Amino acid sequence: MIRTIVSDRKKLLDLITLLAAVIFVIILSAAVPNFLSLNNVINVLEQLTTIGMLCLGMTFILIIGGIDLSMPAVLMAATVPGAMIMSKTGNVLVGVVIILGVGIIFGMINGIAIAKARMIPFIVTLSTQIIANGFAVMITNSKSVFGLPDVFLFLGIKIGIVPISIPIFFIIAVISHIILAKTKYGRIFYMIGQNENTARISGIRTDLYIFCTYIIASIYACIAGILLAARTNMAGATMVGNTMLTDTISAAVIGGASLSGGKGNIFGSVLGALFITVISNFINLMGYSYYVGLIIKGVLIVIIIALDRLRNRE
Amino acid sequence: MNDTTITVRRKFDLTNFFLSYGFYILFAVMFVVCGIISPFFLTKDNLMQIMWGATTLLVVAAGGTFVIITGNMDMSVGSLALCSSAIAVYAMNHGAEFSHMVIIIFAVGAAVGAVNGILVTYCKLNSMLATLGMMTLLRGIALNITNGGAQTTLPDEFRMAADFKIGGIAVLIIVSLLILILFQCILRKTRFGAYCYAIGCSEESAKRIGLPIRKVKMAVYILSGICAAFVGFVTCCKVGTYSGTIGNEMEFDVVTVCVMGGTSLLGGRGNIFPGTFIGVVLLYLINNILALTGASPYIYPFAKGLVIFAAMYVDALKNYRRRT
Repeated sequence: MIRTIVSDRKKLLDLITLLAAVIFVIILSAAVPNFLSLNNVINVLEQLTTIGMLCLGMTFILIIGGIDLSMPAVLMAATVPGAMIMSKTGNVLVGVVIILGVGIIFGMINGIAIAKARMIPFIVTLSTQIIANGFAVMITNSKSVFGLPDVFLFLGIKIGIVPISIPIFFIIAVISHIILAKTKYGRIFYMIGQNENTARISGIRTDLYIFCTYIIASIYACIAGILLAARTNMAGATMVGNTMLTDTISAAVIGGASLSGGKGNIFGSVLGALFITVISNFINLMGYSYYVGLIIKGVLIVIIIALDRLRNRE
Repeated sequence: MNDTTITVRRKFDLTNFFLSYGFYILFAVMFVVCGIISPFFLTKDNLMQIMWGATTLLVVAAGGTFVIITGNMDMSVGSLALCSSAIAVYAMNHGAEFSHMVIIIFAVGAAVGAVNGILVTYCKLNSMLATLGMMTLLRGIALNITNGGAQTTLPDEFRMAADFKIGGIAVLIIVSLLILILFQCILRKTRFGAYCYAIGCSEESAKRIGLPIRKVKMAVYILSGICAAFVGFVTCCKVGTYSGTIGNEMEFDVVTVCVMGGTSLLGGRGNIFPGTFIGVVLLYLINNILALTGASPYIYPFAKGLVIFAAMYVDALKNYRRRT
């Protein structure tokens, strides 16, 4: 069996990647005090929820062969008005509906422009990113919103020592995995990503599927926003840092998705997001400055993309 | 790509005319409307002010147009502008003079451009992902060696370069316009420019007919790197101090103005002189008119986004018609 694995270059590289990850974790736990302590593990998982949720949405988008640069911006643009309503009236239901509503509107703008007007995803989502960011800045005047109602903050509390957002994230990840891997729709997503023309000729309504995918991605961004706002008890136009977009895309690509479409899976993306979070956590625990962290992350992203390129070489 | 040259249209098609020149019409309309809204808009000082603001983006977008025409992307320009000036500041703190700093700025630009080029051409990485990685890396280096981008006063020569004027026009504006025209000539009149278009149209065909693809791509990335370094230099000149905000979010602005000016992200189509130039000026015009009418500064990014979306939508409609 080992011989067959070694003879297959792709499997060999997969094995090496896995081995490298294990060695990496061992080195980390040896070098960094408290790395494997229960508190830190839970801390990492809690931070994982934001980037992980965005990464799930990005996986869907990358699988159908698109890209969505607007996700972190939509997260803020959707969460801010909902949070404002909630802190003013205390009505959680209306607030959540507004968050999802605004997110879906942005998703629809993306979807219509890409599926119907046939614009290039990169350009469309680039401009919706600017619009969504501007919207969040405009309605808050760059001030943060505080004082969210207690019922909403329930999403940010801990049961025992486990924050409630962690099981929510994993349940959503499992549902996404089932949709992608086990249902007819999942197959269709992959088919569109591999060759859109073939899919259209085979009688699939590709424009409808592409339209829906961008809405799905926006909904993931909204859920990430709700969980983040509940955890930090605030919402604002700088809720997520400006490295979030790069982190999300690299997490999905580390997890096996490809910018040319048709590849990727939820399990890989969750691992990719975990990897990015662990790196940030490692930098924090070692007491390096944020700037050194950027250098480490940049180098790792380039190395990993190069490895991925090696793995997928024909 | 070139099927439009085969069909000869004798009849004047109004819709087609509007779609082809939609962006220029949008620009002209905005220019006139701005002139009507604010009496200060069409004064020489104000127009100079717009150009003064646009000098940085003009040059880096001209370099970026080359990259996009070959069908690639350079997302590291903003961070490179920061990083090149940061390294120069680091050298200054260790006793470098003005002339050394200028050389360092441009050398760093060319070197990082070459690294980008190697990653994309020789390692065959996806250009967007590789340069996104470089973007994070360069910003990290820059902020790390300058204590998180702390404000640093630069030698007086920087300020003097910004104040230098020929015939009432700042020399930086003249230089950036000259660079723009030079680049347009390179793109349209030289063999190198033709190679860029050929690679963007179809890299496979370009390889088959024996074009030096790797050399051209390397050259394009080095050019883009030098342009980014120019941004770092000019920003230092304008402000007279170094700070960690140089080139912030510039990479997305570059892609935006190139696409607004009609450059296709798929490669092989686009030009610098009317296209990218008007894209840049439009971007600064929006901020300028909002400032003149005294709108709340928090509306700026939203209004900017809407105009950008409109411009790109018109561009997409044009392509849609062409395809069907």
